[in-house]
Amino acid sequence: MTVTDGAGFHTLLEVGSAAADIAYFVVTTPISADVLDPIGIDDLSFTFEPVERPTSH
Amino acid sequence: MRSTRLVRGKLYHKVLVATLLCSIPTLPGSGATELDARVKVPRAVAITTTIDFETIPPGTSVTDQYHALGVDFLDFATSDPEGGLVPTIAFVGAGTAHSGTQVLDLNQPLNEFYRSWAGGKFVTTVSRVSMRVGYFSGRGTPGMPPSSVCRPTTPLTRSWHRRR
Repeated sequence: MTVTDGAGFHTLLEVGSAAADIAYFVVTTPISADVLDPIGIDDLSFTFEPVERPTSH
Repeated sequence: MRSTRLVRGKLYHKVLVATLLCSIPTLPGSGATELDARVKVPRAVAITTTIDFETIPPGTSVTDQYHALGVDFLDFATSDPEGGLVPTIAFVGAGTAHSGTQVLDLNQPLNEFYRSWAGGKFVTTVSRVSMRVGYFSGRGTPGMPPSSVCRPTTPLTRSWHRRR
C-alpha cells in the first residue's frame, strides 16, 4: 500500500478473515524509511462476529 | 409447643416444593418441557465498530481509552513499560482527516529518532479490520534537513496477526 504526501488520510487499508480470528494488528512503514516517514490513521473499523448459539424449535 | 410447630412447618415446605417441580408439563412426542420450548435465542449479528479519534484532545497519548469499544493500543515494537511507541491524537483539519478533524498520529520518538509504528490489540478476535491511512505533510524528524525529511510516496507494510 502506498500513501501520497498531501493526499490526506483517505487511503483504505483493510483485511478480513472468515475465521474471525484476528487478535491484533500492526501498522508501520518499511525499516529503511521509518525514521523519515510520518504517517497516521483515521476511522479504525473492526467487525466482531458473535458466536451463534443453538436455538430450540 | 414452639418446637413442634417449626418441625411441622419445615416438613410442609418440602412437600410443596416437590409438587411444583413435578408439575412442569412435557410436550407430546418431543421429550422437551414447556419451559424449553419458549427459549429462543435470536441469530447472532456481526457488530462493526468505527473509531474516528475525535473525542480525545490533540496531543493525548492513546493506550486503553478505547478499551470499552474493543481495542487497546500497545507498544509491540519495543515492549517498553515506560511508554515507547505510543500513538497520539493529532489535529489535521476537516477534509484532510477522513472524518472530522483529528487522526491517530503513529509517528513517535524512539530514542533519538522518530518512527511510524502502532499496534492495536482487540478485546476479542474480529473478522475484519480497516482504516484510512495518510501522510503528515511537511513534518519530519527534528534536526533533519528539509530536503531529506519527506519523500513523495511511502510504501506501507502491514501485518495482521491471527490467534492460533
